[in-house]
This record gives sequence, structure tokens and C-alpha cells, in this order.
Amino acid sequence: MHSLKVNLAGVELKNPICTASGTFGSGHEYAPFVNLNRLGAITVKGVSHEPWEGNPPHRTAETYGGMLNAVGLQNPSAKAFIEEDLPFLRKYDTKVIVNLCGRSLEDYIAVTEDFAGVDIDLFELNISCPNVKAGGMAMGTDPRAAEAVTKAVVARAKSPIIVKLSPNVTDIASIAKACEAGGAAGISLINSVLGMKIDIYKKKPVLGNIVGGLSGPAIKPIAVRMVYQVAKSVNLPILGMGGIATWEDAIEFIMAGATAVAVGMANFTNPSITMEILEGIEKFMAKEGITDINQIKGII
Amino acid sequence: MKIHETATIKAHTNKSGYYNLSLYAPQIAKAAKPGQFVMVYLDKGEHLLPRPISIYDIKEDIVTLVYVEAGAGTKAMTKWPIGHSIKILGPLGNGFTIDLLGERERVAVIGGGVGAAPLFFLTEALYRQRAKVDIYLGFRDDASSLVKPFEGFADNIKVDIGGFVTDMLPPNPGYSAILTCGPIPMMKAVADYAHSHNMPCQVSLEERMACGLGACKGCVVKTMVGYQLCCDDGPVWDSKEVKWDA
Repeated sequence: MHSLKVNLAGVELKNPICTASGTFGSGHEYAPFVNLNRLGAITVKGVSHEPWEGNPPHRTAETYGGMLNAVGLQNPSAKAFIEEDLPFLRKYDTKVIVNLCGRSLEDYIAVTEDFAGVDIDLFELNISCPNVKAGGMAMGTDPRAAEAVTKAVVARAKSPIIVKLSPNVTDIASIAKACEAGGAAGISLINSVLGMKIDIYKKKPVLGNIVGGLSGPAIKPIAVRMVYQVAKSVNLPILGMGGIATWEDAIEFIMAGATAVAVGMANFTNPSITMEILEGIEKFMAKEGITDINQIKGII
Repeated sequence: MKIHETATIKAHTNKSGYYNLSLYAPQIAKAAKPGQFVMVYLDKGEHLLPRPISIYDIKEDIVTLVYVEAGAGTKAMTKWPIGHSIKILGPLGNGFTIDLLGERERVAVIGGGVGAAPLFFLTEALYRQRAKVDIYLGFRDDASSLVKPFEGFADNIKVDIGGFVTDMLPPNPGYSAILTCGPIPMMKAVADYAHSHNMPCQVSLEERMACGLGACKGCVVKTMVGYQLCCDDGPVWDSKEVKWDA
């Protein structure tokens, strides 16, 4: 027998396989293809205090080994999520991670307070979305702002806060340390890498927002490197992500220092991919004689 | 019910640029209705995202799609041989609303280019419901392979090559419904025509998609109630709900 249980920021997950925010809707979209009970956790699409309309189309563009997106965190508000989507998720034996979005410190506080008295396992504080003008990534690229927003949200949230970091920085460790100082219970990384694509015949950017976030296998080496750097610099558990498409990718992240991993764009390439990754990890452990997944965490 | 199905290619032909791809996909064949689409997975390094393609026809266990080479992804598809297995996801989207179009109704089905493809599956269904169907199709070049199958399922078929399909529409139509799929300028002109004659009009739109399941919020269409998802709220809308100039 082997154990896949991991402890992410004080929350026990039955295995380290989670979904990345924005790629798995609110869970119900993938229920026909994934046994949601077998996921360690579901991270839902980002929610904000007020409804957000999102960016104009086109919002997606395919690129080599990945895709660009500029959705702009379209969501019907935390209140709508709590009323319409959460009851469905709570029918399953999996942990729920809610991704919190804002454009200002006040926004982040308001959305955190929307969840007062609501049963959520973990919050993922999104200070790294490249597709919103204010807040979003601006807070995730400045250590002082990152610490301030972390502190404000931690003080008001009833569940642990993991902070989702942007790769669009020179020194990822300094941002992670700032979040640790602000009281974060964990770090999740990486969000998408800022990119752009031009339609040379129309002579225009493909995305309505001009720029967008690159995700998918193309960014995986960047993500593994940043997980490794953050694991070496803070004393917090890490939810690692960025281009995970196979079980081998997931093992790489865990060896680099991630406690759990999240699958993102690969859900679009194969809606059942999370189950295949989980089964691959189990076979790998059996073959390698690994009895506890935590044995290989951060061994690099 | 949305199904992720392994499908085997039974036929794959190129008829003057319109590729007919027939797939053995019994579960999706059983569930699909006119106006719905499938996601076709390419799953390669340069094409990780599936391609949304409308359903052209269903005969028992065989789902046939018609596509044109629109970019590198569809170009890769043209190389697929008979016997090759692919993954598809479907049926997706809402499809056309035709339940009330019975034998006393006259219906206009108006298509442009490869937009004519989903209208064949639609026309077969209308024929079975005994609606009286007039077909209006417009193409840039000859597309007889797409036109010919409509014969026998419609009361009238009019085809325009190189002009405007709307020029063929009658001045005093009296249709119970207008159902259309094609380029945006064509559908907008069809919608204007329908409104000026006070007839209901359903339009089938497209947008770049990633998941096809309503999860990624990538494929938005601007409507009177804000952004809606082409994959899940659409691809078919009442033409009065669409904000055309957005």
C-alpha cells in the first residue's frame, strides 16, 4: 500500500491532484468526465465581491505548446457562487479551494467577508491575474503590496489562505517571503506568463485585451524553476502548477518542492486528464517503491 | 449528456475544399440534435486545443462533420486517414429550437459557406417534422457537394455563387421561422430581413473555444444581457438577443 495523502496549509487532501482556477469552472462542468471524489481538491473559477463582465473577445488564442487567455476573471460574484455552485461541490468528498479576486485592497476584503460563515476549505488569494487592469497582478509583483493584502485577508478569513503568485517578476522568492510575513498559510504558483499574439493578415492582436496569460506545457520549465526557488526560500507548503499535462510533470513539481499540484490547461486537451495523472502517479510509486508521496517532496 | 468518445474515421473526403469526416461515434450519434457541435481533439504540441465543429449529418452510428481548412489545426486534420481513431466531445451547445415547426409551418433555412453544414442536419429534422422548408445558400465558389444533399428534403432550394444570399429572399415571405448559419455580415443581414418582416430568427454563431464545456469562459458573444458563452449558452441565439456591432 502507498499513501497519497498530503497536508496543504493544514488541510488534508486525499491525494495531491487538484485543478487550477479558471480551467475547471465550478466543478460541475467536468463531472461527466471526472470522478470528482477522486480529486485532492477543486479550485474553482475566481470570484469577486461584485459581478465582473470580463474582457472583450477574442479571449483565447492557441500557441505552440500552450494557449493565451485574456478572460479577465468574468464571474457572477461570490454571492452567486455560494448560492448556485457551492451546494453541488459540497455533495462530493473533495476539498474546495476558492480563488479570490479584487481590483483593490477593499475589493479583496469585501470578497473575503462574503465568505463569512461559509464552509470553504482553503482560499487562494489571486494577486497574479495578468488580465485585469488594477489589482490583480499589480499586487503580486510588489512585495509590500503583496504583504499588505495577505495580512488584510488573513485577518478576516476563517480558513487558511494560500497566495497565488505571478511569474511576471524578477525575484519570485521576495514576493513569497512577503506573503509569508503577511501570514499566508501556503503559496500557489505559477499563474500565467504575460504574452501576446498577432494576426499578421488582419494586422491586429488576436486577443481583445491585446495581451494575455500564457499557460500550458510551454511554461512548465519556468513553473518548476519557480516552485523550486520558492520551496528553498519560505517555510510554507506549495500548490504547484503551470503546464502540468502528464503524471511525470506532476512528479517533477512535487520533487521541486510542491506539496500538491494543480492541473490547468490540460483539462481542455483531455477532460479526464486529472484521473489519468492520478493513476500514473500511483503506478510510478508502486514501481519505484515509494510508500508515501511525501517521501519525494522537495528532494531536489 | 456530454460524452467524451473515441471515434474511428469511416470516410474522409475532400469535395472542392469541403472536407466530409464521417466518424463511428454511436453515443454522440444517439444524443445529438441539429445545431449542436462537437470538439475534435488534435492533442499535439502545436495544437493542444480541440476544434469546435458543427454536426453535418447523423446516420445511425455515424456522425459526419464538414469542415474547411481554416488554419494549421484543420490543415492537420485533413491528413487523417480512414481507420484512424480520434477523440471527440459532444454533443455540445443548445442547437436550434424547432419543436414547434410542424407541418403547417413554412421555414426558411439560410446558409453561407461552410455555415451550410449544420443546416443539413437541421433540414433533415424539419423534413421529418413535415415543415415546408425553403433553402437559400450562398457560396463564394461552386459548392455543389454541399448543395446536392438538400435535394429531396426541401420544397425549394436557391443557390447564389459570389453574390449576397439575402438578394434571393422573397419580398413577402410569411415564414414562421428563419434559421441561419454563416458569416457574421450575412447573418446580420438575414436578421435585419427577419425583423423587418416581423419573423422570428435563430442565428448560429461561432467563437474561439478552449474547453467547450462552459468552464473557461473563453468563447463569449456580446448579447443584450451581457457576455454569454458560445459553447454553452449558444451557439444558437434568437437574433434579437445578439449585439451585432460589439
